Amino acid sequence: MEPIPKLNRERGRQPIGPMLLALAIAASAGLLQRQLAAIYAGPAAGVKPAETAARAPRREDAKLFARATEGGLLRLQADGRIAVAPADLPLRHAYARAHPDLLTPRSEGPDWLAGLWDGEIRRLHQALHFSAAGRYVRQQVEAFNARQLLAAIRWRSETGPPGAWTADWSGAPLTLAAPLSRDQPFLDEPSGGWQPWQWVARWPALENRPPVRFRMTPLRPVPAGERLELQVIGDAPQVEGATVLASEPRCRESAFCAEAEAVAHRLVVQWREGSTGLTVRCAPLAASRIPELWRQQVTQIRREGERLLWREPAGAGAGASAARPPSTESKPDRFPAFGRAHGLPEVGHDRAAGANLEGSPARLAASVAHARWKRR
Amino acid sequence: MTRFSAAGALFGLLGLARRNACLMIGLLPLLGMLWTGYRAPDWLEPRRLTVRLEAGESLVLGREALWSPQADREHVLLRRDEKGAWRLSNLAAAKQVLWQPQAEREARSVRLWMLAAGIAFSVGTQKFEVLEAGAGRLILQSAGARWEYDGFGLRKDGRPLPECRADWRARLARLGEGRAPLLSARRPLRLGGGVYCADRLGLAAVPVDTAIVEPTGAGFALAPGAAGRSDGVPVIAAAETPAAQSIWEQSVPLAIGDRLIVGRVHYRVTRTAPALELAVSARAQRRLEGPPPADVASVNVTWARSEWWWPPDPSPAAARVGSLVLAVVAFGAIWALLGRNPGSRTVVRWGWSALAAVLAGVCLAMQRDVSAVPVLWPYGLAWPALLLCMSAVRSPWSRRLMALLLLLLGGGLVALLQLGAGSDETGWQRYGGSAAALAGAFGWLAWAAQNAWRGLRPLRWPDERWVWWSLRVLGAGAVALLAIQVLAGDEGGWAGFQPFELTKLVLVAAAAHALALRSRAQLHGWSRDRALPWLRYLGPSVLLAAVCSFALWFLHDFSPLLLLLCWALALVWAYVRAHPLPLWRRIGRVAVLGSVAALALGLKGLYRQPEAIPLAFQADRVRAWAAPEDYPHAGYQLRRALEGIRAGGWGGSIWREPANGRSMAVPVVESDFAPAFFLSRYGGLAGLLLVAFQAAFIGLLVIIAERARRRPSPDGAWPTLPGRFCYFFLAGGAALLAAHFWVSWGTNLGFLPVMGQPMPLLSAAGSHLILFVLPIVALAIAIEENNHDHPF
Repeated sequence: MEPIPKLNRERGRQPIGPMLLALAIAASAGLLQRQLAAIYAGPAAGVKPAETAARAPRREDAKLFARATEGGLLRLQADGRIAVAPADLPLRHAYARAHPDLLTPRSEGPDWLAGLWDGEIRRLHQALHFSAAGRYVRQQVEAFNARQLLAAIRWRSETGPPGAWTADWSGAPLTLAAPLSRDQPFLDEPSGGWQPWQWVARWPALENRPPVRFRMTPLRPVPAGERLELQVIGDAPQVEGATVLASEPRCRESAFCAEAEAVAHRLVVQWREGSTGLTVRCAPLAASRIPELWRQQVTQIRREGERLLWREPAGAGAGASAARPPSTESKPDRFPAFGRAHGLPEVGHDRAAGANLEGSPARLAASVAHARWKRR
Repeated sequence: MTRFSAAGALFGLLGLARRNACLMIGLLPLLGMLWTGYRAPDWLEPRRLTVRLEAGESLVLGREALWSPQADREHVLLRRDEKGAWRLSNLAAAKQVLWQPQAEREARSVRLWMLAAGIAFSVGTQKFEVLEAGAGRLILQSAGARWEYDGFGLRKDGRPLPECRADWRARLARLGEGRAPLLSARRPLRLGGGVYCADRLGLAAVPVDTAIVEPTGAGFALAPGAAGRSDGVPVIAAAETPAAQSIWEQSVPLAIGDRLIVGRVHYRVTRTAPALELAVSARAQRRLEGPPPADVASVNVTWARSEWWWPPDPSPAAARVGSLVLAVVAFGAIWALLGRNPGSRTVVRWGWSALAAVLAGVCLAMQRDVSAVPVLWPYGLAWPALLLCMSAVRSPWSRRLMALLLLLLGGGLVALLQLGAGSDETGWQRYGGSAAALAGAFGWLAWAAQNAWRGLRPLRWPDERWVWWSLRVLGAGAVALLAIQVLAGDEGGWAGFQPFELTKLVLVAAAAHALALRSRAQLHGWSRDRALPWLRYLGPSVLLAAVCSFALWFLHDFSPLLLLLCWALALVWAYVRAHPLPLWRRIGRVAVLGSVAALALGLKGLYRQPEAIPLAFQADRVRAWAAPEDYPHAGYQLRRALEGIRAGGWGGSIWREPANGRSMAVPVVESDFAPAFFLSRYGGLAGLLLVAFQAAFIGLLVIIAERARRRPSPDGAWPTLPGRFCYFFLAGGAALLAAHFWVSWGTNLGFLPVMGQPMPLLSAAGSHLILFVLPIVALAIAIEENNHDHPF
C-alpha cells in the first residue's frame, strides 16, 4: 500500500456550519411538535388504527391465562380451586433430572413434575411468576379461589357483645370480612338481633382442606350458664368452651333439613364454668353448595364445567386506556394517588377488582371496612 | 469571515457570546427555583406523633394515623405493658416494619426471632429443633434429618448440597467461599419449595420463601420470607411450648433513639414517658392548609410547614452543614482581601482551590443525607459553583456551552424541585436535592481543579504516554467495577452508584484514543503491515465486549446496545469524515447512511412484527410498544405517561395546579419518565424549547470537537494527536448523549419501546450526571479553553 501524507492535511475542509446547527435544532423541535400534536389529538392517534382493528382482541393477561391453563401451569382442583404451579418449578425439574434424591417428598397436591416441560412452558412459567401480567393473573386466581370455599359465623346474645372473632385454618390466620351480598334468604333471619356475618374472605393456598377454627375471646368474663346463639356456615360444626344445647341443620332456603343437605347450622350454646373462649370448628363448604351466593362475578376467571375461561373486561382491545391498571385501588381513601402509583399489594386490591366488575364499589368498601385480625 | 465567526455572529445576535448575557442566562434557573418555591402548595408536614396509652392498653395504627401512604390500613400494634414499657408488632399481611435499635447500625424486621440452641420452630407442619446456633454455624434437626448451615451453604446429614442454580456466578461464589468474602457474601437460607440445595431447605406443601433463616452478627434469626403472609402457611416460633407465637406476631421493645420505618416513612423515638413520641424524619404524607383531619384516637399529630431555608429543629446534620458553609464564606472573604496583594496571588489561588474542595465535600455530605437539610440548601450551594465555573471560562464557545449546560441542568433541577414541591409526600424532595448536591460537588471540584491548574502553570498538557497509561488504568478499573457489580451488586448498581456510567465514559475515551492513533498512521486503508498498532485497538474492543456482555447477561437490557450502536455509527462517520482518502470518505459516508436507514427500517419492521425480536428478554416491551391496547400491564408505564402528557397540553398544568396531581402516577417519574413529568407540568411548548436547547447543546459539542480536530501541531502539520483524540472523544460523547436524548424521548412519547435510560440533565440520575455527562462537558470546555489560549 502506498504511504500517503499525514491525516487531514486538507485545510480547506468545511466545518459544521451554523446553518447545520440551526437545521438540527429546527428538525428536533419539529419532530417533537409532530409527536406531541399526535398525542394531544387523542388516545388513538399514537397507535396504528388499521392494525388495531385487525388484531385479535386478546389482552396479554387473557393470553397468558389461556396458555398457562393449556400448559398445565394452572390446574383446576377437585375442590374447585385453581392450583398455580410453584415458583421453583424450573428448579424442581432440573433437580428431578440431576439430583432426584434432593427433591422434597410429594405432598397431596398436584404432581407438578408430571406435566410437559419444555422451553415454551418454561417461558410461560417465567411470565406467570415474574411479569406484571403474571402477577395480575395470579391475583385473579387468588380472588377466584377465595370464592370456592365457604365458611362463616355470626351470633346473637341478649347480654351484649361477648367479644371479637378470629379464625385460622391449620394454624394459618384467616381474614374475616362482612359479606358482599345479603340476598340469600337464610342470611336474613326473621327475628333480629343477629350481628353481621363474619366470612372467611381469603383462603391460603393450603393443599388439603382442614377444618376452619373460629375463635372468640370474650371482652369481659362471661358467667357460666350464659347463653349464646350461633349460626355457622360449614359442615359439621364442633364447639369447645361451651355446651351445645341445640343444633339445627339449615338449608339454602332457610328451612330445616337433613344433616346431609345442610349448608348451615344454628346452635344454641351455654358457657361453661371457667371457659376463657369459645371455639367452633367446621369444614369449609364447596362454593357449588350455594351457587347463588356467589353468582356475581368478582374475578375475570369463570368456570364452565371443567373448563376455566378468562372474561375480558368490557371495552378491552379497542380502548387500551380503559383497561384497569394492575395496581389501581378503587376504595376511596386519603391516599389514592399513591395506591395507584406504587401498586400496593393488598387484599383490598382483589376486592376492588370485584367491585369494578360488579359496579358496587361503595358496598364493597363497606365490606372491607371490617377489620381482619382484630387484636386490641 | 470564516464559518466559525459566522456562527459566532449568530450566537452573538442571540446574546450568547457576551459574558454578562451568559451570566444572566445562568441566573434564569435560579429564578425558576425561587419561583417554584414561591408557587409551591402550602403543605403541612407531620413532625411528631404523640401516642397516649395507659398501662395494659394497646392500639392499632395504620396509614391514616401514621401518615404513611404506603402502609396498610392496619399496620402496627402498639402495646403498653403493665410497667409502662412500649412494644410494637407488625400486623400487615405482606409488608415489613423495620426497626433499628439505637445501639445497632442496621435496621431489621420486627418479625425477627433469634435462634438459640434448645428451642424449636415450625413452618407449616414441619418442626425444626435448633441443636446449635452461633456465629457462622447453625444446626437444625427435623424429621430425622440433620441440617447444617454456615451462612453460605447447606448440608444435609453432613453432605454439602449443590448450588441451587449451577450458573457461573454460583460457581464463582462457591470458589470464593472462605477465601474471598466479596465473592461469597453470606446469604439467607430460604425455607419452603420442593428442592434441597445450597440455600434452600425445601418443605412439602410450603411455597418457596415462606420463611428465611437470616445470618446476623451474633448468629441466625428466623424471619418471614418474601412469599410469607400472615394469613398464609403458619410459621411458629418456640413451637410446642407455652411461649409459642406466630413469627408474624413478634414484637419489639421501643426505647428512646430507636428508629422505625413503616411503609417507607421514617420515625425516631424521642420520648417514651408519659407518652410515646415519634419524630417523623422522612417521607411522610403531607396535607394542605385547611381544617385538620380528625385525629385518630390516642394519637396527636404536630404539624409544621415545609422547610425551604431553615432547618425545622436544631438538626445535627443541618447545623454541621450550615456552620461549615458560614465558615467557608467568612474564610473566603478574608482570602479575597488577601488576593489584592499581587505577591500573594499564587497562595490565594491555592487557597481558593482548597476552599472549593471543602465545599465539594460539603455537597457530597449533603447528598448522603439530603432529607436532613432544608430544601433549597443543595440548590443554593450548587448554583454558585456552576456560575463561578461559567465566569471563569474565556472562550466564547465554552461560554455558550456552559450557558446551555446551565439552562438544561437548571431546567432539570427546577423540574425535580417541582417534583418534590408539588408532591403530597415529603420523600420526593430528595431526588432534586441529591442531583443538585452532586452537580454542586462536581462544580466545586472543577473550579478547584481549574484554580490548581492555573496555579501550576506552565504545566504542559498531558503527553501521549500519560494518556495511554491513564486509559489503561481507567479501562482496567472500569472492567473491575463492572465485575464487582456483577458479583456483589445488582442492576441498580453497587455501593450506591452505577459503575456502568463510568465504563461508558472510559469506552468513549479508549475508542477515541485508538482512532486517534489509527488516523496518525502513515498507512491508510486495509493493511496487514506490522507498522500498524493493531494491538492498541484491543483495549476499546475488550471494553466494548465487556459493556455488551454486561448489558446482555447481567442487566438483561437491550437499550445500552442501541445507545452503543448509535455511538459506533457516529464514530465511524467522524472517522471517515476526517479520512484522507476520498474514496474512503465517500464509501464510508454511504455505508453509515445506509446503516442508519437499515436501523430505521429494522425498527419499523419490529413495530410491524414484534414477534420477530431475537432477544428473549424484554420482548414484552417491544410487543407493548407495537400493540399497547393488548398489553395493559406491560404497557402500563407508557399509558400513564401519555395520559399525563395529554393532561398537560401545550401550556402545561403548572400554571393552574401547584400540586403535581396525576403526573405522579407515572412509575419512575423521577428518572426514566422525567420527560413525561416535564411535559405534563410545563407543557408541550416548554418541551419544544427543551429539545431545541438539547439539539444546540449537542451541536456545540460537535463544533468544539471540530475545532479541536482543526488545531495544527507546532510543526505546522495538523491536527495534533491530542487534537484528534479530543475530536473523537467529543464526537463519541456527543453521539452517546444524543442517543440518550433520543431514546428517552422515544420511551416517553411512545415512538420507541420503553427503555430504562434517563434523560441527561433532566432525570434524577446521579451517576449518569457526574460520571458521564459532566465529565464530557468539562473536557470539552478544557479543550476549547486550550484552543482559545493558544489560537491557531
